[in-house]
Amino acid sequence: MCHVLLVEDYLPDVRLTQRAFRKAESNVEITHVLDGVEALDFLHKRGRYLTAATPDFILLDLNMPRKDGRQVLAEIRKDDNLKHIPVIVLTTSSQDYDVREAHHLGANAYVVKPVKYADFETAVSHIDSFWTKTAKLPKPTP
Amino acid sequence: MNDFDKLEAIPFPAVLWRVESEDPGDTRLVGCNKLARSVPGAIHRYIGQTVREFIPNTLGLPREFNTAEATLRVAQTGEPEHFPKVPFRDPTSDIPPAVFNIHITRWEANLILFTYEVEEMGGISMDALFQIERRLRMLEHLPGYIVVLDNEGTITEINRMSPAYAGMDFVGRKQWEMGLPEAADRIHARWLQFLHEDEGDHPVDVPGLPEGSWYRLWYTRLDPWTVLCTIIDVTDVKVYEQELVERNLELARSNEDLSQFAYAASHDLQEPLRTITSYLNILVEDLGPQLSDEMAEYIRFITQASLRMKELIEGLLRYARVESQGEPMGEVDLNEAVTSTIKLFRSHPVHFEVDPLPKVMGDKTQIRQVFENLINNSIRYRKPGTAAQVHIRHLGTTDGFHEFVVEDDGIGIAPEYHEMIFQIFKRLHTRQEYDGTGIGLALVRRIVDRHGGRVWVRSAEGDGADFHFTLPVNAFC
Repeated sequence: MCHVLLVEDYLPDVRLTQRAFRKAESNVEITHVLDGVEALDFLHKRGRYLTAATPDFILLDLNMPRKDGRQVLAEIRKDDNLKHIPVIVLTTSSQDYDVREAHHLGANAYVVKPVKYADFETAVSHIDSFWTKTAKLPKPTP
Repeated sequence: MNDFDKLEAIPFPAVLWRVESEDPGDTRLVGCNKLARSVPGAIHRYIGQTVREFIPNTLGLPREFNTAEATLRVAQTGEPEHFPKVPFRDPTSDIPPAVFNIHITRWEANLILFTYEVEEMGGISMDALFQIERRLRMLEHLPGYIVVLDNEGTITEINRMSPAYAGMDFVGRKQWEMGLPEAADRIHARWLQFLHEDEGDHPVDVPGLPEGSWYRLWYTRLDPWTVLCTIIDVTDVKVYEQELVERNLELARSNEDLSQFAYAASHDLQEPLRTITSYLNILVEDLGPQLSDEMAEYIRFITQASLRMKELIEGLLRYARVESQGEPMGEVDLNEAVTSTIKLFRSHPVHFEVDPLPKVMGDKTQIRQVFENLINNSIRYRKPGTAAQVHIRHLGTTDGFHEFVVEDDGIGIAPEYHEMIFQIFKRLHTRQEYDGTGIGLALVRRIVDRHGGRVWVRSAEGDGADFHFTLPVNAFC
């Protein structure tokens, strides 16, 4: 069982992502938070996330209210307890400078949300099979 | 008005003799007007003498020039006499030689008037002199400054000045001292350049008075010792130039804004659309067998409308990207670009004929897009039941631009639509007849525009269409 943190402010995309994982018969357990502030609370086990578990990888949207994906990514990479967590950016932006900036900030992959639903399902199933089966993920620092 | 005032009013040199007795020899030279003092021979020196005293000066003069003897006759008879073309010269002064038509007439009871109508002065005919005079007047009245300089830049002559300089005496001063201090350096620099490097008449523009004025100044060499400096007021020109620059900047800004807006708008429109189509898919997937035929049709309508909207948004995005995401211009070999574009149409009903094409300066991806869209058009609007015939040719080069044409044998375009077809989202056919988004040709025009070229169509309805466009010559080939 793989634990994924999905950081996404747009509920239709949250459901879409959850459904796509389900359809891929994935073995992941998805926790969803609505913006960057919540994501960091979750990762730092603060407020209502005192008992949260550190996720195995993160699916991160870029454009969100309050604190956007770029800031979240930057804070994760600065934090010794979090910097090992793979972060996959999942966004609608296909702008080259967004791709470059995300990698510069330490993203492990950058995936543009496909416009067609069928393609979206395919993309999610690729993410699922690569990060849960193909890739060997780091164990959290004790 | 006394006799002498009348004399002054005569527009020629004139002298007056007075008959003093029955003896014509007593006729005395009593005065002359100012003009007469400039006649060679200085006749004014003889004022006070009688004809008798004067005649020894004229001894040996041929009869046709001897006006002194004529004075005697006129004194006696009163009949006027005329002496055409009498030459005068005076080696003792620097007055130029002249030729006069002399008229001798009785003036009132006891006066005899000599008028010296100038025929020639200094070897120059009066006609020529008048012409020179007229030219000089033209210069005087020119609404600008004509300044004659020596090789030191000192003003030796100046024409009638504009009000700004009225009453100021510049002769003898350096010409760069005429204007504002901030202009002096630039004028001086241009002067030195003119003098030492290049005697071309490139103008220099400098600020002047009144405040906000601009003057354009240039030098022309008159002879080895003098230079002509011409100065005209170009304030209006400068004001228009400045307005033009500002308007262009504004235009560029608003174009940029529009590009950004179109890009942002089309990108943001995509997201809700993605949600609509995704959830339609999910609905059909989940409800599939339960849907009535009617509902299935409604869902199909929504799906089709969303797909169409997606095409439009993508088109808009491509259109906006021509400016906002264009690549830098470089050398593009059109033979390669067209060959690779044609490969995209391998499975389409189209035959190509491509003449040899040159290299151009441009954005390779965008230029391919131009050919792709034009070929697409030729295929889409081919005659029903046939394959499109597309002929791509280079027509020639003018003013730094290559002209190309993509010709087809399709259904053609009526002349009244030749301009409209390049506007975004404009279509000539219903979607049932021919599909398309109305982006293709708008994109072609925008790309060609970005390259500084032009695109137009020659076509008659039912008789194929020739799409012409121009692209810049590669200056480095």
